[in-house]
Amino acid sequence: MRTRGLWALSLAATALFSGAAFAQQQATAVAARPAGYDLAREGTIVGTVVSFDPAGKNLPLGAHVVLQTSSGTLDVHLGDAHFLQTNNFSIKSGDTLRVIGETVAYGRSTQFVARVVQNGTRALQVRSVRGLPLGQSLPKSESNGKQGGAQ
Amino acid sequence: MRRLLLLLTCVFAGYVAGCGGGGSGPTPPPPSGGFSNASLKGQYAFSMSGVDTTGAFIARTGSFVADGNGNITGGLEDVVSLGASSSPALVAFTTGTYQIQSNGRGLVVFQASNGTGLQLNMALSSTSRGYLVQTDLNATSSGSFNLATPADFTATNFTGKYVFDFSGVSFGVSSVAPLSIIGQVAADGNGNITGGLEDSNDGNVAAPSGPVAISPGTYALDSSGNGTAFGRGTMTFGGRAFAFYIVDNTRIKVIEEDLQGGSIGDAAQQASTIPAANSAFTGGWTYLVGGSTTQGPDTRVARFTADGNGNLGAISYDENNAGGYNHISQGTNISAATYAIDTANAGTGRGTFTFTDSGSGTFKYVFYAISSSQAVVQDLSSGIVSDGSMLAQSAGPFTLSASAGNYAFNWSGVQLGSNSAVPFEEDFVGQYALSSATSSNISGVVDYVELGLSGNNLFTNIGLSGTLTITGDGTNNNTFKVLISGSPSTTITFQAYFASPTTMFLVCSDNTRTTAGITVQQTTP
Repeated sequence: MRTRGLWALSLAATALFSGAAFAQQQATAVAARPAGYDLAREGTIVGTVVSFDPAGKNLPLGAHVVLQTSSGTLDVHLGDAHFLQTNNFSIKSGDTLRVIGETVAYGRSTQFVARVVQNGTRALQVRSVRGLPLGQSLPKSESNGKQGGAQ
Repeated sequence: MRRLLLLLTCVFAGYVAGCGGGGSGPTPPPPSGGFSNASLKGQYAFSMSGVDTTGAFIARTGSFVADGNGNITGGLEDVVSLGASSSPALVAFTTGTYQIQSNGRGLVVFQASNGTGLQLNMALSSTSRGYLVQTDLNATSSGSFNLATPADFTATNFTGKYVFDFSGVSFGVSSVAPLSIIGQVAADGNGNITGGLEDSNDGNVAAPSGPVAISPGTYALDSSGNGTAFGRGTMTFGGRAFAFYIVDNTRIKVIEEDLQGGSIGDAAQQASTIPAANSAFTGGWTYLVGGSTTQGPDTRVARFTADGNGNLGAISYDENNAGGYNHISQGTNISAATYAIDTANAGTGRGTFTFTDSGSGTFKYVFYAISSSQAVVQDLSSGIVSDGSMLAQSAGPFTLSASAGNYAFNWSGVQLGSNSAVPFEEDFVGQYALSSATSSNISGVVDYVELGLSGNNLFTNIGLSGTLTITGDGTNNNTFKVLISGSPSTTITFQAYFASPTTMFLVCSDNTRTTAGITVQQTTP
């Protein structure tokens, strides 16, 4: 079973104990749901790696890392597993990660997604400013300086 | 190369018998129908997109000539393979062979003068159209082909207003993000792109562009002989550069070749009658879009009705977001369901629609009408870059008896990983017969590629069986569940929406894949 993010639990708890009428809760749910990725809502999480699933067998698809933070455990979606691999970005249990990201809507639930992940002295941007998972890049071409890759 | 040679040997030696891993499940039915090698005769334009073995974007568009007797007598393609090179390749096919079975399934192998090759499996929906999947294992990709009209391979035949939908990737500083551009562009038949309007949704840009005027550009058919022989040309507009192949005077297949990204799509001539006001946009519509959300790959299929007065109703919506399935039905949960034909950009066929679900939030789209019954559509909802097709939905009820017949299909998406597979794109092409029975009414054959699997990645001549269950009058989501007897065998459940009794959009509702696609009744020669 997938570990839920603390922020998601906090959001659920807020909704459950708001004391509002059911109809009002429904109306509030739309407004309170995190919309698309918003740089203004970003936060920084620091935690120790409890587990890392580069193959992304948990939903949503992609690489997941579970961090032990000062507030509990947090499931962080790191984006495209191929992108981490292509960039030789390794993560193992016990590592301390710094993650810049935020909670976004996932179906009728939520998921904490990373835009930037730092392990030691290496940092990797895994999502665009829109929060879309990035694909791999090519080395710059000597002929035209163009970069390419894939989602 | 050794891998390709082994593959070719395997396929030609046992194409009908199948060399993919067959597992438990349905035995492929014997081919039946009226297709043959003679069904593929003439010049065809094609386009495909997918990913290479490292997951990098790859796309190709081109033209080939089939002699109706199993031989490819020539061809040309543009290939953008961003994992291999930052420059597009122009590849000439000097020879090739193909085989078409009576059910319309086929195999074509192109040989290039530089020693490379391209192998595709296909399913013909008629003698003039069909679907393709790349099966040489150099990449996994899929697409379509159309019978071309060589007499239209002139600049003067590219004239009028064209609606386009290009999707692919956009370059960032050191990475790429998904890209969708839809719009309308005007060509004057004399080498000039005179303008137009587009909506760009670029994952590297903070927000969708909204309607943006297209800066003028130029176009020209190749003077090398490729223009008259294959309908190839190049064009620029909106600050981007493209190569294109003419299908006929109503359609071109386009591939982006510049420093901004890689994208591919069709441009279709806009009909003279398109919705110009809300009152002209009425009835049922269904759409299918695919792309990426903040979580990963995403596919959405839905239908709605438009009342001619700016209001949507009868909404049914299904989404697979990186394995997370969500269904929405019309009820008190739906609010702010409206549409608007863009009168500020009159004559473009541009429109928008939106609705809010109390549980899932707000959905927003922009579309450009190709005609009164077809459009391209782009998703403008938060956290998504996605686009696709929208078709007027014929009146229900939809019934099995009215839809029974033979179908060609193409499905593509991402299988999300398992104990024996890493998440990767998968592509399916095949054919089945649909009967009017209420169960076990699907029986057919499929060819598919799953590069994410360890071991065998290619599955050919695999049996497929299942059931299409129509719910109510069939205008909303129906269940299309099939068992594919590859090894391992796979069961896929789709949510299926009728555009007409003979055309359906499908989105997988399992948590194992985001695969989606289309199935079209075959017109047998």
